[in-house]
Amino acid sequence: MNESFPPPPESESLLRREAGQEPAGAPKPSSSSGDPAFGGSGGVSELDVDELKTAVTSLRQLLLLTLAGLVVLLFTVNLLLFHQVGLLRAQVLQMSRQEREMFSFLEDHRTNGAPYFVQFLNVLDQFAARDPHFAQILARYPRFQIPRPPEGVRQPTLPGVGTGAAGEPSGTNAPSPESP
Amino acid sequence: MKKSFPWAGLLMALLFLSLVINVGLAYQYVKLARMARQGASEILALNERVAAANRDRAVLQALALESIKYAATNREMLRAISPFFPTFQRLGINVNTNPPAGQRPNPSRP
Repeated sequence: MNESFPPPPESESLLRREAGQEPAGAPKPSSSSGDPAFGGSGGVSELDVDELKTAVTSLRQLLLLTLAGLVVLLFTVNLLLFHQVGLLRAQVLQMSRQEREMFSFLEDHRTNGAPYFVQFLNVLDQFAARDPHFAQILARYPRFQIPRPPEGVRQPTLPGVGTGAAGEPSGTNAPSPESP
Repeated sequence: MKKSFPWAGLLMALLFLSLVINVGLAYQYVKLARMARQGASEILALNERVAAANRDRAVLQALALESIKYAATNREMLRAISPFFPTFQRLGINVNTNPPAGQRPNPSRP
């Protein structure tokens, strides 16, 4: 006894179309109930779906690879920047230390050294006025004044370097030799 | 349907974090480079002043030595410069006023 199964709806419309009973532009039934063996009269076939799935998978992989590459690139750049920042910070610290030493030396020279120099020169001048022989010796050496900070010099910008130390020197307040 | 691990989300989060760190490091670098540039120009200006101060100290040392040498034969000079002996010693100048062997102060000079 042969069992005959009723043909599926898509095949029915296909058969009818082939028999000329149904126009070509007739709406096709949904693909969910379609027979894949007949090419899916409802729309996208399984083959197309598989192709689409493959394409999406490859695109996803490409995106992940690109993101991973970008992460590695940024990590490398960050590593390089971190190293450079460390070197630069050490350099700036060393420069600020050097600037602080120079400022302290100049302030010491301006407040403790130069007034004594000027006073010493004045004493030698007074002696040279009475002793021409020493005046000849003294004439070989240059004169100098108490150094003043040059105009327009601003306070140093490096951190921790001499603040509030620059001031107008007062020649009248030069310390006496007995009191250092 | 089995859910896969959200690699894209994780990578995006890592990328964003790296970007933030990168921006912060770049800002630090630019700030430190500007400070280093300013510091270099200031040190250059200070170098000139330090050189001038060292020249002055060298002149003072030479004058001090001359006056000490002159004071070996002139008591008035010795009296005039003796208050400055502590300064000379601070500058590292030998203030030994005893005349070298073979030389005596000239008694005829005041």
